[in-house]
Amino acid sequence: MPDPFELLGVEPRFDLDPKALERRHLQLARELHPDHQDSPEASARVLQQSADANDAYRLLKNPWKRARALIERLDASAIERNQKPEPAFLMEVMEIRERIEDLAQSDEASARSELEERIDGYLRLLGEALAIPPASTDLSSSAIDQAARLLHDAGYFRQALARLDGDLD
Amino acid sequence: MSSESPSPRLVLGIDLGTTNSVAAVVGKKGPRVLPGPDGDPLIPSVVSFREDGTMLVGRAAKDRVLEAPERTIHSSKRLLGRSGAELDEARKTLPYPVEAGPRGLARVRIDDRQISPEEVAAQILKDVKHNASQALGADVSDVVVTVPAYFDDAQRQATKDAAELAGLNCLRVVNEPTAASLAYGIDGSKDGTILVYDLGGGTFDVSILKIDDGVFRVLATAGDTQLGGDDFDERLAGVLREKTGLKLESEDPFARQAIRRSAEALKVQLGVEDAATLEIDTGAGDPLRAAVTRAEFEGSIQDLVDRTIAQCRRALKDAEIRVDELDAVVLVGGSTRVPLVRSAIQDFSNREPEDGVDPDLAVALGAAIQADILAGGQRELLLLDVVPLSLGIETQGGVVSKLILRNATIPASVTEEFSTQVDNQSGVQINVYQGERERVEHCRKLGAFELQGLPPMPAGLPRIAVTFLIDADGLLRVSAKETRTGKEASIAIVPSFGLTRDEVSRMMNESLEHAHSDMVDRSAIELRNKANAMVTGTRKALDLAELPPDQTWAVNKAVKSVEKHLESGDLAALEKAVEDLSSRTAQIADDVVSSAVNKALREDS
Repeated sequence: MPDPFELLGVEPRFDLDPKALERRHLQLARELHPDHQDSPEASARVLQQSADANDAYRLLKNPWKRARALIERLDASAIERNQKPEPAFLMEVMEIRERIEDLAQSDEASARSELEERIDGYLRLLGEALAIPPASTDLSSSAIDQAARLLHDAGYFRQALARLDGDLD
Repeated sequence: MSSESPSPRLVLGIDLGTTNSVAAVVGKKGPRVLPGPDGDPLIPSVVSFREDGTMLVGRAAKDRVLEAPERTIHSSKRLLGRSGAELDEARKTLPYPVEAGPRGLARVRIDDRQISPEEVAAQILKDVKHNASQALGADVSDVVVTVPAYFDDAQRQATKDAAELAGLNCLRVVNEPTAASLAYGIDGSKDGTILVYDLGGGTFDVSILKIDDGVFRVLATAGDTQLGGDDFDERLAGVLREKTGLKLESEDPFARQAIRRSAEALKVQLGVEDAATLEIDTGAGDPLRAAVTRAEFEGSIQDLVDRTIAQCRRALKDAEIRVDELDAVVLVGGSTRVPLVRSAIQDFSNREPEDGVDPDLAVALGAAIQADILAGGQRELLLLDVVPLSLGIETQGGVVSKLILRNATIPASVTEEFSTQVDNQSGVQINVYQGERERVEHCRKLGAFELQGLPPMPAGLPRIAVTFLIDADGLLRVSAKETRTGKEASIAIVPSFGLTRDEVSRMMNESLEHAHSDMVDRSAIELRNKANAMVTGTRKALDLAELPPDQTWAVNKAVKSVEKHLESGDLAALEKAVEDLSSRTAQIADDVVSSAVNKALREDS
């Protein structure tokens, strides 16, 4: 898929205005929708573009995917470079997972809010790491690395939450 | 009948329902449903195969369900795109024989023929199209057909194949709840987030939509394509069996159908009354009596209703909408008339459902609106639907790797890279699945895609980019390219559930051979329908009108003549008798009106 930021014609940054993003998507969706073409040939021609616009919006709407797309765009190998978390962190994740597995149903709500709080915390840090500093036009490589690390670490908690919600087998 | 051309290009919207089908168009005054042969827009989705090889469709076919249960196919929509094995449960209760045909697919057995559900649906669509063409005074062959939102790829494709077999050009299959939302929100005053709860004869859908300034966007959809009013009937039939001591296993098709019909009638009665008593004539011995209370009925279907509410919860969660954020709840489908269903959704949503839409007609009206968009009529409307089920491919160890997640806006696509495992391998097989679970055995195989004609290269060297694209119909299209050579790879598709292209064209040819006899048969059916309707209508009018005795006698005589020829089967004589009767009734129509006016004046003074 082509670069989602370019495809939707929005600035490549993390703190996108969701309303503006939605407006831009609807505008493109209208222009490219196969239903709105004058001939079956034209519909066939725009089909892939229409799918790409929908996919780009779905991606950018989600903050985690947006962060990933942004990081990949800035440094293609940053994600892979930052997949090894600290052993202490892994221990903590394991503990939390075990605790969730042994939970009684009545305690699920508190476990859920605990996880949600942690995930929100990661999202905030990610936003800070990916914010373009004042008097600069780009991100430093250390900021990109930090963002990639946060994204990776947050994944453990997001997965734990999905499991708790029964979204995974 | 009036002829009009609703838009530059006439495209018909068809709700192909489990129980009834309805056609609609957008005219100058907006969308409207078209009357069936007897004036009722609801055309029973029933096809009856007569011993002489001819067919009856619609009301005439439905009239034969008790008389010829083994040859009269109702609820065939539930068989579309399914295998015989998947329908084991349904087969136990259906009065007509369903078996596993080619590739294990569900087939209806009539004499020495195996008939596909697509062919049955094609007959219904043909009939609906024919009626619509008559009502419009113009031949229409471009259509939009609705499908349950939760229909998978195979069921959607089966619906499109049915339209093709019927000689129709299906421009789009549109999701039923989405169509209903169009009918609901077309006037522009209903902006907001809505939940459409659509419980039909055989399928259940729930969709969460956002309507905003002409944009109808589906946020999420969930459902069950094997849950509907038919199941309520079956549960009620179970209650009746318990009370009367009848056994399902020992019932012949006649008794089975009699109980089904009784249950259907009882369900309607228990919708308005707290208890009802029923006599069942099973054709053997004295009629059986049974008294059933509404509470007993509701107890028997509670778990089914609970299942629909669980799906509503899931759809809201996927849409990331809280129940208190909903601006409206719209009920669609005949089964939403069941009081327990209404109260369950009301309790769940904590609000009164909207009553501005007719649950039987909303889907057809919405299909007509979508048809009008496609015909170039209403470009200010934008419809963004979603794919109901995740799509994935089989990876090592029988695990499904998901490529497109459920509730993704369509069209949607993803490109994956594949390679070869041995030197000079010329083909790669990709197994595609639909479903939410992790393992292949828990998902439904959509088909196998075989990449062919790869250039000879060492193992792992070819790079084949395969693009999976779900189009605006919710149907999967696959294309592939070998990226090193830039050569388009060809793909052979073997659908797991459905007709192959060869089968479709063979069936088309066969039906063309029989087109002439179909036509003769059709006009005979129409004439008989018309004659029957006139007899009933005239009788009613005679009761109401205050006609001079000589006129009453003359009309009665004409009615008797029609009845006589209905019985004799002499079509030419019947046609004449119908003409005679209609000229007489046209005359008295004026008299009836004037006598009614006179009567009113008399009472006034």
